[in-house]
Amino acid sequence: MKKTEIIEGYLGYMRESIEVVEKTREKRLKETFPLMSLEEREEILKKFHPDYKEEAKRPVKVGPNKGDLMPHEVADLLEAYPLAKPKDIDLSKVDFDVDILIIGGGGAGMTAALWANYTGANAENILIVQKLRLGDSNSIMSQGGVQAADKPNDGPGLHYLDVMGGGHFTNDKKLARRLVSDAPMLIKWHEDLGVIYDKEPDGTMVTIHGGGTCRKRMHSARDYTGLEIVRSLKDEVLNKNISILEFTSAVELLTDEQKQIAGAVLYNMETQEYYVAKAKSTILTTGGFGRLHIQGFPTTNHYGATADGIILAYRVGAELRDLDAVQYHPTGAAYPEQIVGLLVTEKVRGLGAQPVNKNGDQFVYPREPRDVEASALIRECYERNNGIETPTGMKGVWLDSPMIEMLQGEGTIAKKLPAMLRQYKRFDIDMTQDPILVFPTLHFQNGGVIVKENAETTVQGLFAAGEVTGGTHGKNRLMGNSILDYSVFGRIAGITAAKHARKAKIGKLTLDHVTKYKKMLKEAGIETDRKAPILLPEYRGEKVLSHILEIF
Amino acid sequence: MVIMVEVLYYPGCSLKNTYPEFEKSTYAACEKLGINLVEIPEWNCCGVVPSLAADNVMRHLGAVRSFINAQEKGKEIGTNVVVTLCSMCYNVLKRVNLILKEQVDTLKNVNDFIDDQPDYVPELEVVHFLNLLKNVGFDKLKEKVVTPLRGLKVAPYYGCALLRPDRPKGVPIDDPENPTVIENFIRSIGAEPAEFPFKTECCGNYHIVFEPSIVEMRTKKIIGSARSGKADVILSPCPLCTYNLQHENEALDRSEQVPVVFFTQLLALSLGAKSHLSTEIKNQILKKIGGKKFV
Amino acid sequence: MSEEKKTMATIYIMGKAYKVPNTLTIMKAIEYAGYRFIRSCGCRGGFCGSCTTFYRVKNDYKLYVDLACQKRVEDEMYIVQLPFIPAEKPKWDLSKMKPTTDEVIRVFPEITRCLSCNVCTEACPQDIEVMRAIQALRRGDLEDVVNLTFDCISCGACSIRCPAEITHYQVFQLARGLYGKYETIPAKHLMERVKEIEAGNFDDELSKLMDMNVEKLKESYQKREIEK
Repeated sequence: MKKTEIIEGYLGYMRESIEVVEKTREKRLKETFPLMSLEEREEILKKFHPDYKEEAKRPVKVGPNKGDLMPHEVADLLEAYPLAKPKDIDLSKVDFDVDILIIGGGGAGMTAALWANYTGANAENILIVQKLRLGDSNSIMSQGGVQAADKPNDGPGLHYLDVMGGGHFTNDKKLARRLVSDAPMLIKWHEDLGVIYDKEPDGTMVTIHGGGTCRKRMHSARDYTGLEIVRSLKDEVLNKNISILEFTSAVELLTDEQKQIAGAVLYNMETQEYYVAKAKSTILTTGGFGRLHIQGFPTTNHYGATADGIILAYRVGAELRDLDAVQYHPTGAAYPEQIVGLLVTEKVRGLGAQPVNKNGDQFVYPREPRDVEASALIRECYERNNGIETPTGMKGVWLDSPMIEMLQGEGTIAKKLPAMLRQYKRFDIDMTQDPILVFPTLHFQNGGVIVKENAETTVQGLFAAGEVTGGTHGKNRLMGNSILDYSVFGRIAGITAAKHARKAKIGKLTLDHVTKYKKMLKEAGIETDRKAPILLPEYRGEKVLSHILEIF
Repeated sequence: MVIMVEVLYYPGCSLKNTYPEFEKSTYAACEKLGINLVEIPEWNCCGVVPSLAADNVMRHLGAVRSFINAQEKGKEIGTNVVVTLCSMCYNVLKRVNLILKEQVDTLKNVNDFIDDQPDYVPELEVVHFLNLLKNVGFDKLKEKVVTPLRGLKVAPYYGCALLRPDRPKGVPIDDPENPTVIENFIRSIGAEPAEFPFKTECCGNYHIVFEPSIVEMRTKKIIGSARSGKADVILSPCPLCTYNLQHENEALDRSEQVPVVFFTQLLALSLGAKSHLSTEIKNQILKKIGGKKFV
Repeated sequence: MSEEKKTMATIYIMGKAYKVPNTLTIMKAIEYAGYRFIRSCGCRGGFCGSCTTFYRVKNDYKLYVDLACQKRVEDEMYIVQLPFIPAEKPKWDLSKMKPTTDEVIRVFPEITRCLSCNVCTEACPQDIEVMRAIQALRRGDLEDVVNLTFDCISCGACSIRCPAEITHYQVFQLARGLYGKYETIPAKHLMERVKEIEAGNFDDELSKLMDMNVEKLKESYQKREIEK
């Protein structure tokens, strides 16, 4: 076969490697590659994990976290000027006056809205502001599952250990405890909402391992876990008549003379007008930063993941943590080009598929915590040169998916990974017969805005939940804990915000903090055209961008 | 049961949702009669409302898809007979089948449009359950009766969908002006057909939705006629007629009401099978025919 | 490794011709041509249903539908996008409803207008047998509806094409919600664990773990047994 001929989705030279992989499969079915020791983990991270590249980060020059190391892409946005000039915003005319303003309508935002409503906030006094459509978020794309220690052979204690170990013991202990203690309750709530989790005929939850788990506690809804939960949440939010503004971003938070948060300046993405939204409690649930393409990595994240929340929070003086801890999902699709970077869920490994190099050999335990696993794949491709290179220069290793059919029975992939099977079939690849090519992809913001156990940030009147927050996962999140994060802390944020709103009194609205921030930037010698938040990434073609005239 | 007759069976939406007793009593009776009803796999809604309203082939697709599934299943079990209970479904299915048998162009049109299933070759026969019984023989049916409903006067209500329109030719299950098949059925299970001049009057059909006064007027006369004939119950072959008649019964005084039952419920009762009648109506019937305990 | 030479394709975005590399997905091609998405772009990974795109190809009368983020461009492709389906979402309270197909039809009576024409199935980019699912509702089979429509991402292509004007994705959401809430068996072990946690059964263990210093915690972590 010709090296460049395409046979069932793969090029000829890739097929040659697949043949080698097939030859070693029988042997590998019975083998388990050993786990790394904690020391080995440290070593591989230092040498290969993108977070440890010194040139990729710098100390940020301004703000509460001045001096902390952050990826350039994040520091660039914190060291950037506001989108709106305070003098252009007329704060005397308030367009929305609500009890609770929720910035970001994904899993965390919707959960917060519902629990605020359940605990007494009226639907018309809750406003969800959403940059795209309600539900458009990273939450919708989770595939593999959500952790909760609800089986008899498991318990919150073991879950806590897994969370702390995965986070390299840097996690905020109180947040970690809360995460694991509330987990079963949130799964139960999902059940009551009508979320259809995979179950045995007698109602027992079907649970499997994830990376870094010591018990099989990942609950899933086929490989549509995120979608199934989000569409149920979205339906409930709409049924409850909670107010929603779609295609509207928050570009700046508002404060009052007591320096508490008083709402936000909103921006209609389509009509370009601004709105002044006054609120007694403001919740940030803006998600992650994948579309900043840190270190040039492709990403699994949705279109709107541009770190808006941490910028808004930083401008009002909220403290952040662990922004230098970027999670690269070990297995993003590396081929074909059309889907590069998209998530290949950890569930594939949870069901038994092994990462295999071009020679058909295993090189890492399939389910190390994500940062360790990602580092191993990077080492395999770039130091040991045992990866496959695609026509676009992307490197990757095989993930031997046919093993799943052999270990779990024919038809398992169709039953448990229907979304992925379909995705590859579109490009003529049958993952039940052939392995798929993977490489780490930018996936999750481990750090973020600091919150207390009750979801309060370090600024009064501002709450936060979900991926925008830091501390729960320490330096590295385990699979299945992000859905759990937004569920547990989304709920808490909603309840706390509702309680706060009952007592809060908002004074005169001001954007003084923005003026102060600009002064701070100038004093630090930051001269730049950069503006933040960026709201959406720029993907227009080079040729077009070089010819843009802004005349209309 | 010893299976003597095996046919394809088209239930229709009403029997699966609002009036399950019509179907259940039929299955119970068939068990006693040795009739095996094989439900057509993946049958589609016959499309009754739009289908009755227009002469437009597009509106018949539900029926055709059901015929295709019936055809394939029929090949498996060796029959081309499709039996149905609901009058409305009967009317639609019968007419669509006759149209396709007569009009070659329409058949080709429909087969070309449905490109995801095999072609329909119009060799199925649509038969109403009453005619199935008639073909097997009412005298044979009489032999299987264990509890003849002697003393029960039954108003034989036909409604209209079983008898009209006769276009294409072949739709009515009996003489449209003076049908007798239901009366013969009633006699074979031991009961007495009541004098009932309004037996083929339309109950008002779907007017119950937007012009209920029309239905009220018509059903009042139908029930009044049954009462004049001293009927203990009105036998109904149709879920929609049943709905309309029961609707009117609720507006009448107790003394004026005449309970409405599906014909298969009386059939099941007489065969000693589960009739799925309400306790109240069963007791009324019990009183009439005297003392015996029922399943 | 020889680099794939950039072959171009001509696509017509709402009638305007643009030359784009033929390896791009429709979404990336539209961006390459200079459009910046506000609508019609969400997860970019095939899950959110925001990028529903209708298209025809030269010399072919058939109308096709697909997701812009997954579908690769074809030469002489005529495209338009559908960022929104005009439909009111009826409000319901699952706790006040019964898990029957009748209930779903009561909320969406237009389901009874289904002609069985199958255009919905042909429009679906997720290979869902949409008509079969609607007919399963007519047949009283709620469970069938769930299994047939689990992959639905509410892109709305079926609904826009439907002559009976059914909004299938809303219908299916209600059907799945009713099934999930009433027809699946609640997990007993889950209920028990929630009660145990509320009763404080794990408080001591967690406090002990929280009080451990890093070294001790690492020890406990390394000692834990991994379930097979």
